[in-house]
Amino acid sequence: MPATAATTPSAYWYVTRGTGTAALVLLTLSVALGIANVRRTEIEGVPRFVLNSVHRNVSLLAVTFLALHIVTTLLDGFAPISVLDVFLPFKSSYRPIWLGLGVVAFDLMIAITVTSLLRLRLGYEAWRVTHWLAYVSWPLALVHGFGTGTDAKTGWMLAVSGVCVVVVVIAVMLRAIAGWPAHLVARVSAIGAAAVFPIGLVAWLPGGPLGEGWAKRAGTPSYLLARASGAPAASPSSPAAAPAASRSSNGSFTAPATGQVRQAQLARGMTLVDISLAIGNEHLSNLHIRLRGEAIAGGGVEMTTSRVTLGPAANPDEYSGRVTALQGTDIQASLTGPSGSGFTVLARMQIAAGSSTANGTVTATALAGAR
Amino acid sequence: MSSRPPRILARFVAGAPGGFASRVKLRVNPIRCTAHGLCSELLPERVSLDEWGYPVIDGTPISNDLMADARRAANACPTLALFLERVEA
Repeated sequence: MPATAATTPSAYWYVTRGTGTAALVLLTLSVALGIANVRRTEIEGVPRFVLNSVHRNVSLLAVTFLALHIVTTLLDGFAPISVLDVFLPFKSSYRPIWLGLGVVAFDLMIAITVTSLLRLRLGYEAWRVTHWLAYVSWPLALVHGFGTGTDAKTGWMLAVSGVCVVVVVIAVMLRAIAGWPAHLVARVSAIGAAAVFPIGLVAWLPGGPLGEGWAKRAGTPSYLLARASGAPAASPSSPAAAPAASRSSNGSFTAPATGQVRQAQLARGMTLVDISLAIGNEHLSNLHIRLRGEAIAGGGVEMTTSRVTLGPAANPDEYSGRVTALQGTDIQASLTGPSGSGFTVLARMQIAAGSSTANGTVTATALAGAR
Repeated sequence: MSSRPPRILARFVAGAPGGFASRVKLRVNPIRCTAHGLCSELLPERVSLDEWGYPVIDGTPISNDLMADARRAANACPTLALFLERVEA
């Protein structure tokens, strides 16, 4: 467990994960209900138009959760994802393929939603053809979840995903045989795809998202993956002696720092490195760096999440941000604070083998032209 | 072959004064209709189903108090076979 409450990831990150999972479940329900409508499924005591309305409302709810999922991902700010990345697939620097699949799924859902809302104006054929894209969107969304999901490895998420796959595969099979044998090629293709998809998943998952070092293979940027290790620093550039403190009028400063390094094991091979530094002779005296990710054998972490705070003892979270570069035990972070002010902070540390004490220098450069 | 869908007047009629409503009729496109039957659930006052589940429409103009239900029935039709049509006086 995290050493302190302050080491937990941002609330946005939890909301992102929760809404992503909720969206998957709702989309699954939406696909199943849509197919139930096409098949004219009769449920005792439920009029047909009710089933139709529920399909519509569940779909709109799924889109709402999807919007929350995307907005909170942007707000969380851990992954370097731009607003453009939300709409244009495969261009992001963060896990481009796996994020991109989610983006394509989202774009298709926008098309499906808009055409459904304008169905009366568009006409039946245009609406229907667009609506078939749901069968493309759903598997992309699922694979996106496996490829980027923080919880993808957990038992409960695997169970949720598994149930969703089973529901959709059965629904698609039932859809394909409804009205047999017209359009036979399309029906057989659909059945084939529905059968191959789960087999492909089962073949891919163990060596893919469930395998070792997926974060790296999935295309997490190297600076997020760089090793922040409790092991001795191979960092010849680090100054051996504590340098003299210096300070400039815009708030930039260089000062010696000492502190503690702790590493905590979390569940499922995740680990947390917590570096708490006291900066000498400075108003902004508390620098707190937290790195979270998959543990590396021999100590260290393949960082996937970070949080850095800087501030006076009375308000240690005055400036906050995340790690932007990591090399050995040199850590660079970008921090923002009140009224748009900010710092780029470089912490160069030496950590002795087997020791939890860090010594080094902190250089904070005030950001110019901050809004 | 896809022909232009019939002009939908429901939206237009909704905001119009009452006099308009009496000139709107419910109609079905029999080629498009695939007998889902939602229309009869939503507007039993004007739509009954034949023995194969296809709608039989009562062609009398839709009165104001039925307009909202008629519009709902037309919107709910899975194949957009049901529509409201303005009748020339």
